[in-house]
Amino acid sequence: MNDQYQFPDLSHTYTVALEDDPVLLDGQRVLFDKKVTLMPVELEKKTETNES
Amino acid sequence: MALSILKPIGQKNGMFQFKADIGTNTFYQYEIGQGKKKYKGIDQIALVRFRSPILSRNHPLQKIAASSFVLEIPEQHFDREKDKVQLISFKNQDGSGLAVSEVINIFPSLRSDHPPLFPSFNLSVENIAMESTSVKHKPFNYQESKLSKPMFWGALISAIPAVIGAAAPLVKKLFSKKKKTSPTAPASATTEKPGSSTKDEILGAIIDMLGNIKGNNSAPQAEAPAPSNPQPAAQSLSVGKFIDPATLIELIPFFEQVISRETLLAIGDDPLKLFKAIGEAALKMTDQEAASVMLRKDSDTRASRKPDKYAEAQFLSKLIGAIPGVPPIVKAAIAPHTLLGYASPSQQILKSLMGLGNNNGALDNLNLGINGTNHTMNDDDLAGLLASMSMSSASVPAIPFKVKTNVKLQFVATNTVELHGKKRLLYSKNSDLHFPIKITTDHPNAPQNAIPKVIVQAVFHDAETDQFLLEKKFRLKDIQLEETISNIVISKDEAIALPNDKDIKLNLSFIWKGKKTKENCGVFKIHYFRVVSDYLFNRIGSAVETPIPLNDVVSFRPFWHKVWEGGFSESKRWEVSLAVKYYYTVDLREDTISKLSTKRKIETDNAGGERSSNRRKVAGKIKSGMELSLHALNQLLVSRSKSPLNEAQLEAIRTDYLKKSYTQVARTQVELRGRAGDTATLWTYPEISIHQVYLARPNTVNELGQVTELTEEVVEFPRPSSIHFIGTKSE
Repeated sequence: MNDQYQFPDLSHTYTVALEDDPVLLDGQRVLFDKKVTLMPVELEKKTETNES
Repeated sequence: MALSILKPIGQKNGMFQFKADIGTNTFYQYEIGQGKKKYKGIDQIALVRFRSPILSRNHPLQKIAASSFVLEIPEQHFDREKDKVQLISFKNQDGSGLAVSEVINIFPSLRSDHPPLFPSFNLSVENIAMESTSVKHKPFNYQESKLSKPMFWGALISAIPAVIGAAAPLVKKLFSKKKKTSPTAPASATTEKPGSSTKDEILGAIIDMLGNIKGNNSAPQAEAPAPSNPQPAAQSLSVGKFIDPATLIELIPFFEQVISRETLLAIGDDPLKLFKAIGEAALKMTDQEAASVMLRKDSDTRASRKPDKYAEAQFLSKLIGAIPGVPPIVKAAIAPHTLLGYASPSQQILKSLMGLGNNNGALDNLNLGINGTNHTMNDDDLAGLLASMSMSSASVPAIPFKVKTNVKLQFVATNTVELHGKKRLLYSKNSDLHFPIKITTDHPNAPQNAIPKVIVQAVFHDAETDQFLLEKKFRLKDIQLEETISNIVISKDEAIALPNDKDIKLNLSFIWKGKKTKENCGVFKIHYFRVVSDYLFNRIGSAVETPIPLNDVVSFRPFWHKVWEGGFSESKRWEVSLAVKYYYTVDLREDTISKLSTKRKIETDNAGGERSSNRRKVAGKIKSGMELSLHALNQLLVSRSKSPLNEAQLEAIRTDYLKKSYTQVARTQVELRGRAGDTATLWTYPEISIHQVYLARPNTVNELGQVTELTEEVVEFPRPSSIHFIGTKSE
C-alpha cells in the first residue's frame, strides 16, 4: 500500500480546521469525517408481501 | 476477417461493459458459466449456465459501429458460480465461420500483488477498467426486523400447552395423566421401568438448556470490545430469555413422546424452531386422531365442548396479543368472545403457521377472525412476520398410522459433543450414519411376543428451511420391545443428500399392524443432528489487534461507497439534513462485494414542491449499505500480510451464524450546506477488526458414525467495526 493513497483519519479534526487547511476527496472539499461504531442489527430480505 | 474479441471496459448502471469486435462476422452470442476447459486447443467455458440469444450486428439492442461495439451484459447474469464470459461470433446463423474470444474472468481476486485496483486517486466510478472492479451494484432490499421474533415465539410457546390441550385429545390425555399422578401418587408409583422412559433425559436436556440460557448462549457472538461511541441499543436479543422454563417443564410429557433429547439440546432455546417442532408433532398426532375425535364429539354434551373451544379462542387472542406493534383495534377485534363463532380457530392457526392448509397461510386465517368484526389487518410488519412463519411442507407422503401413546420410541447410544455452546449430535460425513432405537412401553400388560413385521420410515428435512432431503424405509421383522434395533442405517453415499453443518431434522416413524384391528399403529419421534466434514464453525472470538481503517482509496476502493450526492441549482443557499443508516451484511453465495442502492425519503422541504430561490431547507432520511463477501474479507488478510483461510476453512465459516454476527448498522445525522450550483457528497468507508474465529475439527468418530471428540483450531478473520461518514462539497 502506498501512503499517498491513504485518506487521513479526520474524525478527530474540527470542521474549522478543515476550512483552514482543506483536504480534497475526489475533487471536493472535505466538510467532516464522522466515525460511528457499528452495532448488531436483525435484517431481513424484503419479500413481495412485506415490500413497502 | 472473422474475429471474436472481448475486452472488459467498465461497469455502469447495473451492466458490465465490454469492447467487442467480431470482424467481418455478422452474428454473435455470449455465454456465461463456470470453469475453463480446453477443446481442440481452444479455451472454452466448462459449464455454460447462461447463453444469450443469437444477436446480429444490426440488432437494435446493440449500437454497432464498424466491426467493434460496446457489449453490455446485465450484472445479474453473474455470480460466484457464474463468473466467466466468452464471446462467440459466426458468419451465418447456422454456426459457420465461427470465432471464439478468450474466456474472461469477471471477478478477479483482491490480491495485494495485483496491480492497483484503481489507476488514479480519483474516486469517481466512471471510466474504470474492469480489472479494478470486484464490485456489484444491487438494489437495497432489506428491512430491519421491527418485531422481536424471539419474543413473539416465546409467547407463542407459552400458549402451546393450552393449544395442545384443546386441540389434540391425545396430548390432552398425556397431560391429564401427569396431573393425576404427580401430586398424590408416591414416587415409586411414577417410576418407569428401567430403560423404558426418557423423562429423566428430557428433564436433563431442559436443565442443560436453561443453564445455557443463563449463560447467555443464544448464538455465537463476537466478544467485541466495549464501543467507544455508544449508540442507541440495537436489537441483540437472547432468544433464550423469552421461553418460560415453567412452560418447558409443563411440556415434558409431550417432549418425551415425540421430541428427542438431542432435538431439545439443539433447538430448545430457539422459540421459533421449537415451536415448529412442537407444532409439527402436535399436528401429526391430531391428524391421526381426527376420526376418533369426531366420534367422541358426538357423544359429548354441549356443555363439555364449550370450554375447549373457548380455550382455543383464548389461544388465538393470546397469540396476537403477544405481538408488539399490533394496533389495539386489531387486538380488540380478536378478543376470545369474537372468535367463538369459528370452528377450531387454534387448529386453523397452527396448521397455517406450519404451512399446511390453504396457500394463503396464517394471514388469511387471522383476517378471517378480524374481518368477522369488520376490521382489516393492514399492518405491514405483522404481515411480514406472519409471512415469514409459513414453511414449505413439500415432502414424501407419510405412512398413515394411529399413534400409540403408551408406546415410546427412544434413540439410544447418542454421543453429543459441545458446539456453538450446546451439546450436539454430530455425524461424520465420511462414515455410515447409524440411528439405533429402542421401543419401550409402560403398559402393564405389554405383549411378550415380538412384533412380527414393522416398517420404519425415516424422513430427513433441512431444519431451517424445511426442505425435503431424503427418505428411507426399513422393513424389519420380529422386533422385541426394550431391545435395541441397530439396522436403521444411512450409508455415507445416501448421506450425500444431507448438507454439512446444518441442523437436520429426522422424523422417524415406527409402524406395525394392530393384531386385532389390522390397522396401522405406530410411534414417531423428531430427532435433530448434523453431519460434518473437515471443519466446523464454532464461534467468533475477541479482536486481536486495533481496528484497521480501509482508508487507502486505491487498494480498498471497493469498500468506499458514495451513498448520496446532491445540491440545488435554483436556490441561493441550501441546507440538507439527513438521518443516515448504513448497513453491513454478508452475502454467503457471492465472491464479490455488492454496493446497495441508497433509499431516500424527504421528511420536510420548505420549498413545498416549488423551486425556491432563497434558502432551501430539506430534511430527510437515507439508508444504504454493502453486502460483503467472505472472499473479499479473506483477501484483506493478505493485504495485512496474514495467512488467508483455506477453502475448507472458508466453507466452514460460510454459515448463518457468521452472517448474523456480520450484520450491523451505523446510524448518524449529517448536515450539508452549499450555494447555488454546489454539489455535496456523502462517502463511507469501514474500519475492520481482525477477530479470532474458533473452528472445530472432528477428531474421533465411533462405530455409529458419531463424532465423539472435536479439536479446536483458531484462525483470524476480519469484521467491520466502525464506519467513517465523510461529507464533501464542490469547491
